[in-house]
Amino acid sequence: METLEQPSDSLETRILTVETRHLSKSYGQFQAVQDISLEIEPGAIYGFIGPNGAGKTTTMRILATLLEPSQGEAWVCGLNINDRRVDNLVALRACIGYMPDFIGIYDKMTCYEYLEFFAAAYYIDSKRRTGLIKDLLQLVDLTDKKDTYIEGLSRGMTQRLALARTLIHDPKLLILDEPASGLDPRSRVELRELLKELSRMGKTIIISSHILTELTEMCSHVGIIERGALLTSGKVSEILGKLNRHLRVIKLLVRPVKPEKVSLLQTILSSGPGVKAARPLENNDQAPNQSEWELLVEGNETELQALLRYLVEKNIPLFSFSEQPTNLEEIFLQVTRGYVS
Amino acid sequence: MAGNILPQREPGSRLEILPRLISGGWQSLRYNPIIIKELRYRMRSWHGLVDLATFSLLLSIFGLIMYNFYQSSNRLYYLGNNAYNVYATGNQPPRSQELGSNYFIAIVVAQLFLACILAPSFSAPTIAGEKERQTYDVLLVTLLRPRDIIIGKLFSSLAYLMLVTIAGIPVASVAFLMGGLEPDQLVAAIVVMLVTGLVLGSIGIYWSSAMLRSTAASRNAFINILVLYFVLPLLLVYGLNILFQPYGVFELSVYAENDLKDTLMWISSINPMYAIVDTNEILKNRAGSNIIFFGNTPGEFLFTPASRFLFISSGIIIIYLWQAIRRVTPLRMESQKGPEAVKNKAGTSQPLG
Repeated sequence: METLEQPSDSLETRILTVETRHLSKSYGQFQAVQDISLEIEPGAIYGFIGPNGAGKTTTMRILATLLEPSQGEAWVCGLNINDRRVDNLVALRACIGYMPDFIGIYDKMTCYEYLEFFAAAYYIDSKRRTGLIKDLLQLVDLTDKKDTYIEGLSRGMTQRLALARTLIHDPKLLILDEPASGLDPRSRVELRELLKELSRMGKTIIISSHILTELTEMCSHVGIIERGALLTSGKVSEILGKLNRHLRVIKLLVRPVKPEKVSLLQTILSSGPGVKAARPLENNDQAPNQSEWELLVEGNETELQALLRYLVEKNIPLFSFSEQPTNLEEIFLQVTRGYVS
Repeated sequence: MAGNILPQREPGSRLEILPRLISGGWQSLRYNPIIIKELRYRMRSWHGLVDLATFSLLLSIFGLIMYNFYQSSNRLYYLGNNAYNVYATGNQPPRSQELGSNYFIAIVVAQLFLACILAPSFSAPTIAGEKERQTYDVLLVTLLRPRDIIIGKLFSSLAYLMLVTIAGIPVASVAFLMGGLEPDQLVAAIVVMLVTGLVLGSIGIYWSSAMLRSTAASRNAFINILVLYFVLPLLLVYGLNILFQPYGVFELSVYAENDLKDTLMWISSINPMYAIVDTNEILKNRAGSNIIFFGNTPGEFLFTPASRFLFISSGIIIIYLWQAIRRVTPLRMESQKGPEAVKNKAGTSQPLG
């Protein structure tokens, strides 16, 4: 039963945070973005993947109301980006937090002043600003840098400050254009954790990158773009399901067998349903009573179930059967053709 | 939906009856965070101090030269066969006061000239600097309207120009020791300086919005000011004089000659230095004149060059600021588009399902 205190998510989920229909942008003869149609659900972390010059930034700038599409329509938080009425534009921009690929900073300005300036630019009540900025600095772990000039911050800290700026008006949608570029590994991990936290807070995040490994662990949805065209878009798992020829890597832990029986085991494993290849991995010295095998399997969940059944039926001394985390890189290579615009 | 969270005018407030433009401008100034940000940056960097010191130093040197020049050249004057010392005789105070008036105008002209040189460096880097620092997009996606951005940038650069001008007051105030400065002359000088600042600022802001680099914006603004204030009036006045001089290309009647003089005055009044010098001469030499109109009879009803300058400058300011606002608008509002475009876009808002 629906209550006022806890509204059902039926209304909330019906409105997509982002929807585009046949969105295109051209500069003279050059088609930067062509016929992009995508849907992003509330709360999703949408990874926008593509090589340099694929059209990621152009699409993001259109959604951020910085560029006018040549054709097509887009809605952000239910508001049409082609509707140029002042009220609509103001409402749109209040919904969007945009962080460009290069974080420009203002000289001779402290972190607090930087955030205060943007709070004022979003017409946040001056009485609320101090508390809000304090909370944001705490969220991005920059409390002790409050009175430091921005030019004195490291790259990672500047990225986090920019993220705090993006959140200052509590937008529903965050558009982050390659936020992790140029960061060291620690800063990347910190940023990733921060984005996951924001997703838990209910923000919808569009994040672009051409470094796929950094998106692997955090994206619920992906869109792959190449030469301005969206090749595929949707949930990571759904995309995997669509890719019939997708090869999955299965890792097996089995009891070691006698050396003369290794080839027999390999034959049995290779004969499994959907198995394209089977190979033993190097023995782990710390676990001498286990041996590792890697299977390359073609197929979806049904084939994996059949394979597991097959291994049990064949009395393989199995300790563990696990699919290796799917690498977005693998999806990307399968979907794209390797064009670089 | 967030709705319009921009500051709204209070219903029934007196601003309701003011023209929309003025109230909009006031709102832009009142809630504008850019002014504080820009002034904070300018006053914290060494550029601000250096610019201020350079301006004051140059003006002081010029003031010293002018003071010595006027004092030595006017100490003795001749009337008939007699030579008089203006300071010693004590019976010719108007002459001493004339020195004060001339000195003041010379300082005002020098301030205007220095402002023409310095103003592009104050206003031209404002928006182009945002583009160079790559903070421009972030600024555009805030709720600040293009008008707010332009007004914020303009008034922050003007505030600094005003500071520099105020720093020149001690040098100009030497004139008060000599006397002879009428309130009209003082008002004309202040108004012309303020409006010149606005024109220079508007030109700088326009080029700043049009260019991607601060250096290109400063260069273009400087050339623009040079052409507008010096080259264009000189060429036009020279050309008209050549065309209409006695026995020149065209023969003119007496009435046409008066019209020509009037036209030449309009053209010359583009230049604030000419406007202030000529207005000062009129105010000094024609009893009963004032800064807006002058004339000994009701039939002779002519604007002073200062008033003409204000008219021309208003047009220049409006054109440049309007163009600047258009350039910082990433997506044009409906009101700026043609009726056909508005018609096509109507009714496209729809709930998503």
